Formats: sequence, structure tokens, C-alpha cells
Amino acid sequence: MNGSDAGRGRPARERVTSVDRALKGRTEPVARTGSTHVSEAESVFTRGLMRAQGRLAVAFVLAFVAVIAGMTVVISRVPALHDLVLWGVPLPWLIQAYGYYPVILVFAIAFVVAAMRVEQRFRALVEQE
Amino acid sequence: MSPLLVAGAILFVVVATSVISAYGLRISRTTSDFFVASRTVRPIWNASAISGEYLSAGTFLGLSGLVLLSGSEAFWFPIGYAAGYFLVLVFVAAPLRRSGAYTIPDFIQARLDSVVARRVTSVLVVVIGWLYIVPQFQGAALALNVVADVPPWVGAVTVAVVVAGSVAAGGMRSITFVQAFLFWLKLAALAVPVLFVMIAFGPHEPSVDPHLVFPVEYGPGGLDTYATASLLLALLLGTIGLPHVLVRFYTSPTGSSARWTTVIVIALISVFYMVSGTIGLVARATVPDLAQPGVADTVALLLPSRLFPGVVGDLLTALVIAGALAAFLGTSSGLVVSLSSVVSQDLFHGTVRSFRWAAVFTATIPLLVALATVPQALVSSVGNVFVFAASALSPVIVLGIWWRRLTARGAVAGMLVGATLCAAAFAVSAAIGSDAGPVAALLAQPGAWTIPAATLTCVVVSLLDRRRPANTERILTRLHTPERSRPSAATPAAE
Repeated sequence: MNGSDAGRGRPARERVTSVDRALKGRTEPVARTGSTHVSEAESVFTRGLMRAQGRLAVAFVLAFVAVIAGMTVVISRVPALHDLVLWGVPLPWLIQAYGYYPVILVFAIAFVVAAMRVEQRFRALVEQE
Repeated sequence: MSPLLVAGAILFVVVATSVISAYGLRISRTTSDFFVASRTVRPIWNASAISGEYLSAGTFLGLSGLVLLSGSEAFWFPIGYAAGYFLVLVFVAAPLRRSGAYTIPDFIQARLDSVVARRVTSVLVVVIGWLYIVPQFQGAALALNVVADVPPWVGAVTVAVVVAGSVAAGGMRSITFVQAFLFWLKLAALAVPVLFVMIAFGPHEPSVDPHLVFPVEYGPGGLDTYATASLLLALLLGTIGLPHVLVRFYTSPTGSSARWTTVIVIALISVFYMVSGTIGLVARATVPDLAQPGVADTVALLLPSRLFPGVVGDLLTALVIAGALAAFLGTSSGLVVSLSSVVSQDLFHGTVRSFRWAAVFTATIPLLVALATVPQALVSSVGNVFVFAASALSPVIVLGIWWRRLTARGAVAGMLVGATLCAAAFAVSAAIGSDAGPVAALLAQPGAWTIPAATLTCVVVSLLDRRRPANTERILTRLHTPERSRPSAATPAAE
């Protein structure tokens, strides 16, 4: 299995060195976070990036909560839906059992695409400097 | 159900787990292999492993049990668990990966530059992990008791021994492959019986009256607004605070791959929840006599032989047993890995040897608790762990990533307030029962007020505190700066 997997696309093995530092007899735990490489141009723009990502996150969560709440109001407060029966199960039950997951997935994919766009704009700015 | 088939199913899972563990052992040699699989795990495997670890006895047995017992309100649990990963994605996945932290205590210490904050976090992580492992062991006891008629402790001890053994032997790298295997086993174990039901009953209209089987008052129409909103808030935020979630992101090579991994996880667990929920719906229509507390949680195990008497039913039951075992093993071994990592780092020097002993230690304590306590409904006892994690850890983690002014004192105060309020609410709620009016409702589902209280405490204490961590700028820059595009690719547009 290892042989057939060794093609391209597999990330190179990375040795995590900070664990070994902890091995050398320290008594206080050391936060294992590895090394940091941050260029100056990056830190200048990072505040802006962080704010943009934060706004994006909050907007997505608010929209998500609104959609979920809307769906829930519809299935719980519209009694007429209960008379629609599919495969022996009333529609509100079916929506609650299966309907929410596609919504979650769509929101997740949309967020990843949007977040990547924000980061691409950031990269472009940093590399212009 | 023949005991031979039960034994065969259990043996299959244990042997398969050990073989994959041993294969992993061959390739895990260094300390970093042990802790984080050296970051060579691909997204699909990583996502399968995360899902394998996340799907516990709570949703494998407990979901269909609660659908049978109390109707569609049971579906809020899996919806909250899946949506919890959406919040992980939005708020923490990429930044936590970029933080380079192994565990939540590592992250808190690096961000706040405080050993005290780290210690408090470590204690909470271990408590949350133990609370989460207990229902897994109780589920194992219940399942083996029902299908094989062995005393309850046999199931719990079997799972504990296999978990502690495989974690101590293989560490994280082999656990990744074991978890991925266990996910697909769990999915197959519920999907195959569902397919059989579809084929057997598919095109016919069922003979039962849908409004009798799925009454309005047990459906979404019977919604309790406060309880549902409070539960969902806690389930959504709770995933962020679970100890075994963060360490998995460390095995993603970059922040963006951590994001895509999360999306795959959402897809995988959603499919599983739909299948598991289907078992509950089928159970309501076909085996209403099992709708009793204590028995309902075993409906996924009992349903196949009720619907398909004879050999087919027996074989399907064996498959479900294998899947249930995979659920207990998957979640508890994932938690034991994370807890061992925390314990071995905090109490010892983070060596492979101490990791092994920590694995034995972190599996033994919840085993003792599981043997000494009476099991509650599986899905809601797992749900309570989410409420606790959401109150104690999630506010600090999210604020640590997104708010510059968080200080160590603010974080410690917030964690203590959240944990204390939530624990007290559950304790009082257990003492007074559920019939004491609106106060009882507030205490039974405390997430809606404990999470804001913890967050507010963090914010107020941090604002009053003058001792800001010195390296805030550097750490936040690191958390939010995207990885460099590959050194050879000069233009960012090429991505």
C-alpha cells in the first residue's frame, strides 16, 4: 500500500523538532508550536487580513443561523406540511432527518472558497511590496 | 443470535485494528510520528480518521434509540454535531493548524504566554475527555450485554484494554489509519442493514398509519424553543472545545488543507447521520415495542433480526456489532491519544515512554467511572459533554484566535466561570429533576447562559487586566497569515 501511494501529491515527511527540545530534560512544559517565519510585509497586512477573515466568518455564521432558524420555523409552525407524506413519513420529519446536512455542507464549501479568495488578495498585496 | 457470530464480529474488529496498528508501528519510529503522524496524512484519510473518531456510541446506537423513544427532537443532536464542524471551519480550523500547536493547552500557552493558563486548560481537557469516554465504555457494556448476554463489565473492559493497548503500541500515526478504517466500518455497518430494509420494503406503502407512527407532537411541531436553541448553541460551539479535534488538524500539511479536510469531514459525518437516523425512522414504524428507556439504545442491534429472521438477520446483526465496537473503539482511542499527549507533556517530559503510560492511565480512570455509574441515554450524555466543552473551553479558544486583547487572567477566569457554572447547573438539575418549571429547563440546558457568561468574563477580566501577553502580535500574525505559495510558483494567480 505504501508503494502505490508514494506518488505525487503526498506531502513530504516533516520532522517536528520542538518535541525533541522538550526531551532534553525540561521541567516546565514548552508549548510545542515549532518555528515562526513572518516577513515584515506580511505583518503590515495581517491586521487587515484578520479583520477581513473575521468579518467573513461572522457574516457566514449569521447567514447560517438565519437559514437554520428559518427552516426550523417552517417545519415546526406550518401544520399543513404534516399532511404531505412521502414513503410513509410526514414531510417535517423527513426535512429534520435529512434536510439540514446539505445546507451545512453548502455553507462550508462556500466559506472555504470565500476565505481562499481573501487570502489570495492578501498574497497579491504582500508580493507587490 | 449465536454467540459464535458475536465472537466472530468482535474478533474481526479487534484483529483488524491490531493488524493496522502493527502496520503503523512499523512505520512510526520517531517521537513526532508518535504524536502527530509526521504530517504525511492525506486529506481524505485525515478526514476519514477525524470522522471515525468523532462518530461515537452516541450517534451509532444512541441516535436511533432516541428517535424511537422521543421522536424527531433526537435529530437535533446530529444536526448540531455536523454544524459544529462548520463553526470549527469558520473560526478555528486554519488558524489552529497554523498555530502549530499539538494540543489545546499548547495553543493556550503559546498564545497567552502563561503556564497557569496552560495548567487550567490541561485539567479541563482531561476532564472533558474522560466525560466523553465514559459513555463509550457504557455503550460497549450495554451492547455486549444485549447481544451476547455477558455481564456488562466484560464489554467495557474489552474496549478499554484494546484502546489502551493500541494507543500505547502505535501512537498517532497508526491510530490515523485505524480511525479511517473504523469510520468506513461504522458507515457500512449501518448502511448495509438500511439497504436491506429499502430493498425489502422499498416500493410498498407501509401498512401503518404515518400519523400514528410519526405524530405531530413528537415531530418538529412539538419543538421546545428554549431547550432546542440552547442545545444547538452548545453543540455548535462544543466541537471547537473537544480535545481530540485540534490534534487532528495538526496532521494537515497547511491551513488551507485543514479547511478542505473539514469540508470532507462534514460530508462524511452527514452521510453517516442520515443513515443512522434512517434506522430510527424504520424502528418507529416496525418495532415500537422497543421504545422503552434503557432498551431503546440497543434498537440498531436488535432491528435486523426482528425484520429479517434467520441467517440474514444474524449476519446483519454481526455486522452492526462490529460497527458498534468500531464506534466505541474509534472515539475512545482518539480521546486517549489526545489526553495521553496532554498528560505526558504536562506531567512528564513528552517522551514516548511517558506517552505509553499516560495512555494506560487515561483509559483506566473513565473505565472505573463507567463501571461505577448507571448509564444515561447515550446520545444525551455525549451531548452534555459538548455543553461543558462549549462553556469551558470554546470561548477562550475563539477569543484567543480573534481578539487581540485577551489576557492570561481573562482566559483563566473565563474557563473557571464557564466550567463551574455548567457543572453546577448539571449537578442541581440532576438533583431536582425535570419537573420544577422554567428554572429546571434553564438548568437542564444551561448552554444558552453559561457560554455567554464565560465569554463575558473573559472579555471583562481581560480589559481590566494590564498584563498583556508580550507576543500577541507575532502569534496572531502567524495564525492568520496564509502559507507561502510553493517556492517555485512565483505568481499567486497560479494557485
